[in-house]
Amino acid sequence: MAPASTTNRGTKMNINTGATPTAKGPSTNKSSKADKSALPIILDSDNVDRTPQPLFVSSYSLLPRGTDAVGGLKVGTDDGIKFPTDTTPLPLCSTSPAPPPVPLELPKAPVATATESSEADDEEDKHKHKHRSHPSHISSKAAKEAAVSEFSGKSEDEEYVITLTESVTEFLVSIPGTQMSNDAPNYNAIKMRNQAYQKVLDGRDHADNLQERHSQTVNYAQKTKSVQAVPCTTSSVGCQSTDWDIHDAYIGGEGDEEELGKKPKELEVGGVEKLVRTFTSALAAKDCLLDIKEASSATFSKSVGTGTDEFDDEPKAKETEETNSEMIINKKKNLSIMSSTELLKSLNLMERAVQQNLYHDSHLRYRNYPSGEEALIVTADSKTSEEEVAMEDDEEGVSEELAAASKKNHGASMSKLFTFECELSKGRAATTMSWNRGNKDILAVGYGSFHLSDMEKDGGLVMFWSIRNLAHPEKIIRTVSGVTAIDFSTAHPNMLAVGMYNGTVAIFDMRKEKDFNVPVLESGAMSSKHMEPVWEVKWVDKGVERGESLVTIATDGRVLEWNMKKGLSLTELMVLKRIGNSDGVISRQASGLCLDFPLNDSSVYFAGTEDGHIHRCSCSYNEQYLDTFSGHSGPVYKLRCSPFLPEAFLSCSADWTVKLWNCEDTEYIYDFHSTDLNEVVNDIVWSPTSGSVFASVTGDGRVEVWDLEYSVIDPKLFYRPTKAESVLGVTPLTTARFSDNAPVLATGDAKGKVVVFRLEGMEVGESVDVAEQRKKLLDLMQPDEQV
Amino acid sequence: MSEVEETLERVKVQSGVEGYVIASHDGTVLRRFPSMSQELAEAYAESMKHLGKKSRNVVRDLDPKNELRYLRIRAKKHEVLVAFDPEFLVIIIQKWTPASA
Repeated sequence: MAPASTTNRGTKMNINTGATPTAKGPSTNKSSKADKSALPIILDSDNVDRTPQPLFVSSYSLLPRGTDAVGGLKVGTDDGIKFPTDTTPLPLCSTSPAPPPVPLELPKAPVATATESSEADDEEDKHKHKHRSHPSHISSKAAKEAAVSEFSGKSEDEEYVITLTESVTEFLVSIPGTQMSNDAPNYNAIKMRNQAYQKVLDGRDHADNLQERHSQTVNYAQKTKSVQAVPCTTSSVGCQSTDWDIHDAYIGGEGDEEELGKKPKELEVGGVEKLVRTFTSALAAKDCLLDIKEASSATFSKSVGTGTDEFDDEPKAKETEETNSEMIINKKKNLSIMSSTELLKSLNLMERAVQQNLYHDSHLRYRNYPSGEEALIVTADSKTSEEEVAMEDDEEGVSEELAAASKKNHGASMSKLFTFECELSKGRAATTMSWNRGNKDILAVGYGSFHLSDMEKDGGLVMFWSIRNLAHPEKIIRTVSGVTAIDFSTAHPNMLAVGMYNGTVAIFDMRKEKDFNVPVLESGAMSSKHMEPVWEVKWVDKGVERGESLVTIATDGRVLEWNMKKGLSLTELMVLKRIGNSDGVISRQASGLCLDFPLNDSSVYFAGTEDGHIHRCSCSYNEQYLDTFSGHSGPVYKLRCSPFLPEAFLSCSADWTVKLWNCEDTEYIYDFHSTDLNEVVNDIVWSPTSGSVFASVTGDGRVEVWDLEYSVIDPKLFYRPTKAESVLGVTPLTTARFSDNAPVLATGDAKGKVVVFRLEGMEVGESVDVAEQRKKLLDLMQPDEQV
Repeated sequence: MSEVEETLERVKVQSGVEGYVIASHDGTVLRRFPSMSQELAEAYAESMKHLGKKSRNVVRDLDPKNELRYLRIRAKKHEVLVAFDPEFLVIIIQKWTPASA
C-alpha cells in the first residue's frame, strides 16, 4: 500500500501527472500507486490521502502572505496555518493515520521570480486554501484542481492555511534504473523487446546475418635507431683541503686578523702580487715546461695553490733544455736568496740550534734547572753530597785546598759554565760589564783598555752577549775610543750609557734595529766634557720630576751630572780636590776612579780617588766633602754600596785589599785580603740575593766569593786559573758582575774573554727578603757587639 | 750578504758540524759544505723539502696561523737541523753526544 517511490516534484513529472489525475481521479489503489513517480496526490483505496509529506519545512511558511518579496505567503483569515483535523496520512508513512502534519507549502526558492511565483502561488493557494490537508506542494493547476475538487467542501472552516511551494528540483545525477516493475505502462513493449533480443542471442551461433570477423590494425614497420651523445670531457682534479688551506684562501695567507678588515680591493691586490710571485717562482723552476719567451701570453694555470701539495710533483718526464733566460732567472733568484734577511735569520737560528746541542747542559745550569745529577745529589745524604759537590770543581789543585780550608762543609761551589768569546774581542780587555735591567739575560761588555795602548786607536767595542749564542754577540757597537764604563738605564732599559777612554760620554738606544750603534747623544763637542778617561757612569734616579740622570767621574777629578732633557747638558757636581798635603803635587785635583750612589739616596754619593781616599759628597754641595774615608794605601779602583744596607759599602784597591765600611764610621770595619793574594783587586760586586755575599776579582786571574756570614778571613769560594792556563801568563780579571736572575757570576779578563761561573749552593731564592738580608749584614758589621 | 757569509762561517766551525746545505724551496742546492758531495746534498735537499711540506701541513692544520720554523731530527749517527722559510731551507748536520741529550 505504501508508495514505493518518492514523489518527484519536477515540472517534467507534473506534466505527466497533469493528465493522469484527471483520468484517474479517485483511482484505484493500483493506479494511484502506479503514478507515484509524479502524482503529488496519492490516495489509497479508501481515498485517503497518503501523499508523503515533505521532510523539509521552511520557515518561510511563517511569513505573512501578501508580501511579494517573500513569495506570496499571506496570513489572513482566509489563510493560515491549517491544522487539519481529519486524519491525513503521514509523510512517508501512510499505513496508519498519523498526527496531522502541518500543511505547509514551501515557497519557490528563487526570490527573483517571486512575483511570478507569487501569482502562481496565489492561484495555487486559492485552490489550496480549500485544500484541507494537502501536505505537498502543487505547482500545476491540474493537480490543484484535482485537489481542490476533493476538498472544496471544506473551505468553509475557519482555518489558516499557509501554503508553501517547493523550489525547482535540479537533477545532479539521474541514473534511471534498468528494472521496472510489472505495472509499468510500457511493460509489455519492453518485455517483447527483451524476448526478441534473447532470441537473437540464442540464434547467434548459426544465424545467417551474424558473422564473426576478426580484423587487425595496421602494425607499422619498426626501426631501431640509437644516438650516442658526445661524452663530456672529464678531468680529475685532486686537492687536499686542510684547515690552513681554507685559512689561506680566506685571509690571503700572509695576514692575520687584521687582514680581515682590509678592503676587498686591497686583498685583491695582495692576491695578485702573490700570484705574480708564485708564477715567477714556478717559472724559474728547473723543470718548468713553460717557455720563457711566451711568458707574457702564458696563462696562470701554472701557478699552483698551496693546497695541492700532494699533487705538486713537478713533471719530470720532459726536461726542457735550459735556455739562457732560465739560467739568468735562476741565478738571480739564488743571489736574492743568499742575500735575503730571512736567510740571515734562519742562519742565526741554526747557529743557536747548533750551539744548543753543545751547550744544552750549560744552559740548563744557567737557568737553574736541576739536571739529573743534581737532583740525585739533593736527595742524598747532606755530608756526602757536599763533598761531591765540592769535588765538582774543575780545578784539580783547588778542590783539595777548598776542602781543607773550609772550616765546615758549606755545600757551595763554583764552576765554569761557559765563555763568551769571539774573534773580534780577542786581545781587547773587557773593562766593564752591565746586565740589562729589562732583559736580564743580556750582558753588555765594554772592551777597551785601562792604559794607553796600541789597541786604543782601534777604538772600543760594546758587545751584547746572550747565552743563546756563545760564539757571537747579538749586537756590536764600535766606538771611537776604548770603552771604560757602561751602564744600562733602569728606567729605560734600552738606553745604554758609555764612557770612553778619551773622555767621551755617549748614550745609545738599543731599541733601534739598524742604527743602534750611532749614539743618540754624545758629549763630543761639548766644551766642559771630560777630557780624561771616564771610569764610571751611573744612571741615577733623581725622583719623579727630574727623572733619571747620568753621573760620571773621570781622571780629571770632576764629577759631572748629565741631563738629557734638551740634548745633552751637564752640570758639574764636584771637583775632587786633593786633601792633605798639597805641596809638591802637580795638580790639586785628585783623580776620581770610582763612584757609587747608596741605596735609595740619590743626593749623596761616594767617590774613590787615586790617592786611596773615599769621599762622601752631596749633589747639592760641590765645594766640600761630607766625609772622607781613608784606609786604602793605593788607588781605589772600585766602590760599591750594598744593595741591602745603605750604610755599608765596599771598596777595592790596588793595595791588594777589599775593605768594608760603614759610612757612619771613618774607619773600615773589615779588611778582606786573601793570604796569598799579591795582586791588585780590580773589581768587587755585591750579590743581589744575599746581603753578606760579595765577589772580587784580582789581577792574577782569581775570582773570590766572600761570605761575611761564613768567614771574613777567607773567601767562601774561589776560582784560580789552573797551572795549565797560567803557563801562558796570568790574565788579570778586570770586571765582575752577578746576574740578577741566574746563579751566575760573569767575569771579564784583560784578554777579552768573559767567563761565566755557576755558583752552586749559594742561596738564590725566588724572592729575597730585603729586610732579612739587611739585618744580617748589619749584624755582621758589628762584630764587637757580638758575644 | 757578508753577514750571511760570516754567520755561515761561524756555524761551520762549531764543533760537531759535519755539513750544511742551503737549498731553495724547490730543492735546488745553493750552497753546501765543501766536504759534502753534490748527490748527498741534493738528496738532503729533496727529502727535507718533502718532509718540510708535510710538517708544515701538520703545524698549520693544528692552527692555521702558525708556521713551521724549524725541525730537528735526531738520528743515531747524527742530528739534522732544518730551518724552514717560504723561499729556502737551511739544513745542518751535526754530531750529537749523549751528554747533550
